[in-house]
Parts: sequence; structure tokens; C-alpha cells
Amino acid sequence: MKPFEKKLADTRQNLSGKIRSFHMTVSDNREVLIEGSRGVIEYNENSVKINTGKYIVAFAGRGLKLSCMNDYSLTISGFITSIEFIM
Amino acid sequence: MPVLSLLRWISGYNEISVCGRFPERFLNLASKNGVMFWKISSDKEKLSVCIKRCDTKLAEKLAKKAECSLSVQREHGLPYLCLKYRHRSGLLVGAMLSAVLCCMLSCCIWNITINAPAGINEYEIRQELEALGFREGIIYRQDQIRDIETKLSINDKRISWISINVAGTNATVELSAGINAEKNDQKNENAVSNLKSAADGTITRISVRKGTSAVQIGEGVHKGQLLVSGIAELPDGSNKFYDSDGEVYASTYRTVELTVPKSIMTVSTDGINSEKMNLSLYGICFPVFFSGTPDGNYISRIERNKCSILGQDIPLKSEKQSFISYKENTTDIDIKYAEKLLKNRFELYRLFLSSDGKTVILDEKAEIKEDKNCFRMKVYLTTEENICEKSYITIKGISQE
Repeated sequence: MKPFEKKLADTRQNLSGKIRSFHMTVSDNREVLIEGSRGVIEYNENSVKINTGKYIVAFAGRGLKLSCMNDYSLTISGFITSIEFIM
Repeated sequence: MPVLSLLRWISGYNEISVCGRFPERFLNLASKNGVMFWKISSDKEKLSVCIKRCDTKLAEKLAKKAECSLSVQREHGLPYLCLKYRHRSGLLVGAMLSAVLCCMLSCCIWNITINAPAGINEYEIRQELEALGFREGIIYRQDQIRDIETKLSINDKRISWISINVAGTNATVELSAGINAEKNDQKNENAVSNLKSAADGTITRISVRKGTSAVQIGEGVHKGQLLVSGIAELPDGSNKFYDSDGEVYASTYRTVELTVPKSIMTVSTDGINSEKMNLSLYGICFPVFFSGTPDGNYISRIERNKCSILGQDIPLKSEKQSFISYKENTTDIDIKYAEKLLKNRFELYRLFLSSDGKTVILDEKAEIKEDKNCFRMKVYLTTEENICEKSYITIKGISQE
């Protein structure tokens, strides 16, 4: 990575870390939009665990799927049976 | 979502599968480096995701870093399609030609709608426009449209205002009817006129609004005789001129002669009907049915329909021509039937005569005679009607008040 690009990425990461706050929008038990994620810890069709920085949010269910994902947000769709906050 | 899918398809995307112990590491690493994923599905062994075409190389590097193996399963999108057909130059030429053709056809007018007011025939206006060179299929030019508007409003006295609005390939002709010029002339305030008799008769009633009466009740008049004069002589010896107005009723006599030939022609359809249909696309006609025009006598009816999609007319039209063939038969009639026909015709004449409400039939006497080739009915009518006929006078060197 070039020095400028590295600097830009670092600044972006620092900035996003400061601005980033965790938001979760649940639509019924079929879809969840997560903003401010720090990464996926576990992903399979029965369980999805998301790192938010302060805690881990664990979704359990059937046919769980990440519809789309980028460095800041992701969408989980499927039949969600439970949401657990692991401190 | 369809727009997003379309944009992804245009830029191109890959369906990849990631195998390894921790494919989640790859997801996190790649997302932190700005790689976007969608359609992420997880099996027991591998992870299938969709990524942009331009992110594939970066994703391969990051997969190595995350100790995963990455393989491209399928390639989607326009760039791959272009690559696939890059050797088929005919497709490119065809696409370019169709684009040029599309541009050329968009410059033409393919539908002309005429919103004609009552009293102006739409067909006549269409014919006049065609004579001026404004027809379906012409290449649209703004200055030409203005010329046509001017010419048509000058040529056709019935039109007071015309506007041709072009939207895309559709032209709408808006018209406004003009005021009849002749009627205007007749309402000239300085006109001087007399009222003359239009028929022979005996005066029964006189009603003069303007002018001086020249006849009296009970007086017999002949055709062309002065009834009301437009020139009045004042006590000081000077003259005053009027545009005479009034009604002079007289009992008149008229003879009406109606004839019916002894052998009349009757028409009967022989049940042979046929149809012809054409489709017109961009002004070029294609026959749909190949049935020809029937032999002998026929009545034809043309039905034209426009095609439209979502309220917009498209340059596809259908023209259906229906033919009903008929036979002419000659039948000899007897005097009773002839009398019936003649009476019917006289009733029509009576309606026509009394349609203005100013002619009243006072007495009538009819007689039917049989001639060599026809039956003849003579009706002697005594009527009361307004016999006034306006006659304008031109007076030079006299100024009006």
C-alpha cells in the first residue's frame, strides 16, 4: 500500500471508529439491518455473530443469510428466533 | 432494487466461493478494504459471495492473507457479455445501425392528431395539410411548421387560428373556427336595401321594421315587385336611407309535381361480405388478409385504428376495409304502390316547406296520373308565406348619417 493510501485508510479507520455507533433495525423477525459493525465472528445458516466493539450480537435462527455487507453495515435475512447480546 | 441490480450488471460482477477454516476472516478483511459483498451464502465448507468485477483481484490477495482459497464460480454482467461476443463484429455494426436508425426515425412525425372544432371536417384539414407537405413520415423542422400554420390559416377561411404542436414523434393540430366573412358583410351598417317580392300572390299581412311599405293588404303582387322601400323622403325634401327589414306575408299558389318510374330499382345484398386489413408501420403498408375486392357492386367501409402504448401513440396503424356486395333488381310497381311512394315523398316536401316556420299550407289538391313510363302526382298548393327578398342598392355620392 502506498504511504498516502495507508494514511488515508488509517484516518478513515480512526474517524469511523469515533463516528461509528451501533444501530440495529429489526423488521419483524425476517430481516435485521446492522450499522456500525466491526466484523463477522461467525456465519452459518443457523447462527450469525457480529462484533460491535462493545459486545457481540448473536442471532440464531433458520436459513440466515447475509444479504449484503460492507465495512460499516450489513443485512441479515432469514427466520430469526433469538437475538443475544454477549458482553 | 432493480436499479441497483442493473447498475451491478452494467459494471459486471463475479460470483466467488471462499474455502478455508475461517472464511469470516476473509469477509472482515475484505470489507475493511472497501470490498462490497452481496448474496452471501454459507455452506459447511465454503462461502459463496458476489463481488464487483473490479474488486476480484484485491479479494484474491486478501483471501491469501486470510489463509483461504478463492475461486471464481461465475461471471455476470455487460463487460463479460462484450468479451464473449467481441469477435462478432456484425453485432456491433447492427447495434450501431439500429442506434442510427432510431435517431433518424425519432426526427420524423409519425402521428398527426387533429382537434377540429364543430363545423370543420378533420379529413379536409388532413388533406390540406398533406397538400402543404405535412404528412406522417416527414422530417420535422420548426420553421416548416410555422410556414404550414401561416399558409393553412390564409388558405382556409374557416380557420381563424391554428397551432401545430410537436411532442416527440407526435404532432397535435389545434384549430379554432373563424367567423363567416359573408355574414359580416351583410351586417354592414351603411348598407341600403329594398325588399322585393319573391313570388306572385295576394298580400295578407305586413310587418315593416325598417323602410317604407310600398304595398297594402289585399293587393296582388307579382314576382320582383317592390314591397318595402329602403329610401324614405323626408318633409324637407331630403332622403333617408335604410337597410330594409320586415316581413310581408302573401297567399301564394304553387304546383308541385312528383314522379315515380313504373319500374324501380331495388337493392338486395347477396350475403357476400369480405374484409381486407392492412397494417401500416412507419408509413409502410403490409397486407394482413389477402382477400381481394369483390366483383360487381359493393359498399365499402374503412376503419382506421391507431395503436398506443401507455397513452402514447406509436407509428403502427391498422386499416380495415369491409366490403358488402349487393345486387340491383328492377321491379315493376302498380298504381297503389306508386301512390304510397308519392305520398311519402310529398310528406317529405311538406316537412321541408314548413321547416322555417314561416310557410303555412292553407289548402292542397292532389291528382295522380299514369304516363307512359312513370306515375305523376300534381299537387296544387295554396300557402301563406313571407315573400320578402332582400335587394341591396348601391348609391354613389351620398354620405350616410
